[in-house]
Amino acid sequence: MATIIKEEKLSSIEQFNCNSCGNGLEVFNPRAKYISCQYCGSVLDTKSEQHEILMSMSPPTEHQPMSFIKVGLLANFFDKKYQVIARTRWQQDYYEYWSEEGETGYSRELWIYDEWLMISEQRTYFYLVEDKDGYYISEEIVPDNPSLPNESSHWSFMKNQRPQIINEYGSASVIYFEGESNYQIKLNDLIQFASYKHKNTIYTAEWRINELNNQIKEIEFFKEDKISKKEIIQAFENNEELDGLRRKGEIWQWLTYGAFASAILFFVLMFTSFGGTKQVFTQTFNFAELNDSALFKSKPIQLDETGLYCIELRGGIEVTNSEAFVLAYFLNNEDEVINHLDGDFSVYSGFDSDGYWTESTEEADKLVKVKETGTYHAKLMLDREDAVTGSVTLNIFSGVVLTRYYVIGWLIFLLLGFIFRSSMKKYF
Amino acid sequence: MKNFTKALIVGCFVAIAGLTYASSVRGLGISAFKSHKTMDQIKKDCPNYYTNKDGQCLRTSFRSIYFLRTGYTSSTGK
Repeated sequence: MATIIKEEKLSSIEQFNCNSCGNGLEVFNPRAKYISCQYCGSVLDTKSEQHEILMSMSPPTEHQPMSFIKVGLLANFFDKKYQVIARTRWQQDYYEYWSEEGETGYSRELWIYDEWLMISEQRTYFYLVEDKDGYYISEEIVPDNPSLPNESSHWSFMKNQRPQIINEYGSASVIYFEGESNYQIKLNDLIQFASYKHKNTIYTAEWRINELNNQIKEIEFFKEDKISKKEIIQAFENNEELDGLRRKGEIWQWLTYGAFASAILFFVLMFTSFGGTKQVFTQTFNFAELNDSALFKSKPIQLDETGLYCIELRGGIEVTNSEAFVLAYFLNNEDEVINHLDGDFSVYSGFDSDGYWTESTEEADKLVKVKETGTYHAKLMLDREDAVTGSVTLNIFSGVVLTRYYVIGWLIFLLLGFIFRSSMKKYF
Repeated sequence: MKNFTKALIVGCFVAIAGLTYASSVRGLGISAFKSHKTMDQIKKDCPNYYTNKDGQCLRTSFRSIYFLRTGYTSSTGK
């Protein structure tokens, strides 16, 4: 197991208690003017002595983080220590490009994502974007060809990039904020955006419109690169808060591997169980020897082991379109009937619109549990038309294993494996 | 994760696998070779069979099982 090094948090420049709920708040960004309490949603002024409450965001319980990331956690990115100092939750109302079977278009979508503001000891920052699909590192960039998309469906703002299809365009509004901010973030604060993809990076322009004169008042350009959940967990691993999550993740991991290992074991047992049966008795009776008025006694049936046995009657009718009914009684050493097996055998054939068909029933069997070893025998009776000829064979097999429980076990553990795996993936 | 938790998880899976194996080998749900159902049927058709071992009476029992299974009368008419 990796050694967890507990790192010290970044030095805060100010500490005070929230005027609304009394929880401790810390300010790390020297340029921050406002702080939204992550415990009660109150927005306070960091610069004034009294730290007045300016407004309230929605209660934090309505907008819980999507994963383990929360304000205050430390992380290692780009070989530097960063701390999470803010989260903005955005709701996007946008159009997404699609292309299928030669047709293209844009479909309207709604999406929610969190933007975590990460600040380093050197007070550099970037955004960690988190949504249902995963994580992205978003950095503000200076465009080579600053521009906004026009009527064309292709666009780019970096040199050495041919204009690319506009992947998404629309608007996004703030639905929740917690942590520090340079400016007063308001609920429903609206931005317009458009983005395109070049190689594996997403390039986005975001702009704000002045509501009074409908003019663009601010434009920013970003690039986003996807980062895997594994890398995110590695980046955040030096946090005590993750210990509990790590333990839960390990439990789900063991349950997942245990379930799949059990499923594999039952699958193997299903197939290896067929080879263990042994024929301990067989005798063939011609129909001419049997009738429905007297019982025909078999040879002694010696059963030397307790356990599961399969008793089988196999009929062979020689006359087509006929049937025969056979009943076998099984008697113990004291000549008492203790069990029976009957077989209704038939052979039918004919012609129909699909051609020649034939149907037959040639076998009847049952499983029994022998609890007492010893010598048994069978007595057979037969009912048939006089013209029906054939024979019936009585077979008894030992070493039978019920595979039904292996099949049930395989199916259940396979299903459990996938269920546990989906829980495990939340942590890895 | 504590060793106890790991042992508990492994133990649970081993126990379930063992239980399933034992059920398959020992035939959980399979009736005994000495079948009370057969013996009750015989007693119903031949009340004194187990005291006097009347072989002819077994024929009556055969016919009742046969009629139940096939719905036909005996081809010998007996």
